Amino acid sequence: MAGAVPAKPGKVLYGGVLVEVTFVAWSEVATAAALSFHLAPSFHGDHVLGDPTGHLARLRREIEPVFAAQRADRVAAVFAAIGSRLSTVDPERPWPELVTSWLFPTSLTAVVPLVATLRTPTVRLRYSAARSVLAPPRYEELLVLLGCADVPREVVAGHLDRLSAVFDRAAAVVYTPFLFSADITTAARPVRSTAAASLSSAVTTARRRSGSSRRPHGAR
Amino acid sequence: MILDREDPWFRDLVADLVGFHDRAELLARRDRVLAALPKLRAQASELVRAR
Repeated sequence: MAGAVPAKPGKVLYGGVLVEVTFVAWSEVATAAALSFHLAPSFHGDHVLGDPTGHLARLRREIEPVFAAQRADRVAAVFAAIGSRLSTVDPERPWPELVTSWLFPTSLTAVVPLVATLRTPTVRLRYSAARSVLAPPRYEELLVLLGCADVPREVVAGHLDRLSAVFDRAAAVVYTPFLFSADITTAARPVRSTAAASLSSAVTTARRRSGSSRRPHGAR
Repeated sequence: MILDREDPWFRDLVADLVGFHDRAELLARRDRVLAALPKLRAQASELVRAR
């Protein structure tokens, strides 16, 4: 969109469909989309649902022919994002923020193979999608870096149960705006809890014990 | 139920799912990820060339 970009509305129900709404400045789209690993895939294939000005169709005509050729540049952009974000992690931040500031750039390591193979990067499904394009040992390496290669499914299930209760309580009282506050809503609950439980159940590969420094449960 | 930034549930969740019990462990893992980037970059180049 042109002009000032309003805050991200996030997940909203529209005509019975849960949609994720984000505003992006047209100047950013027009100048950076081709080499952006999260914007360019939207112009690879026919994903545009509405384009009253015709700007998006014009941009697609520019990006589509060079989309494959520029994947190495987009892969480099992912690595640049990982390196810069991890290098600037502030250890003095509150624990939840510190964990998040480590988690998001680390999980971009699963986006790399998706960008390299011209697949659409995802958020919640990025590891599942990466698994479909990587040899098992390489996928396992990503899980080791994330620290969850040896997490038993029942532990994940237990935390999901607890998360559901925490989510409902938080959604009832949330009022402080922050980057993901639009996700803490009743409308977004199926994505946070139901879909997460389904994803967890779908992971059937047994995880080997990595011998990491993880302490036994209960040792805090 | 009272929730705040220091809620033990969140600390347990982080410890159980990604293995961090404190900031030092998180920063050590951060360094491991950074150290792994050259290898991941080489693997990504293989994927790009293969397609």
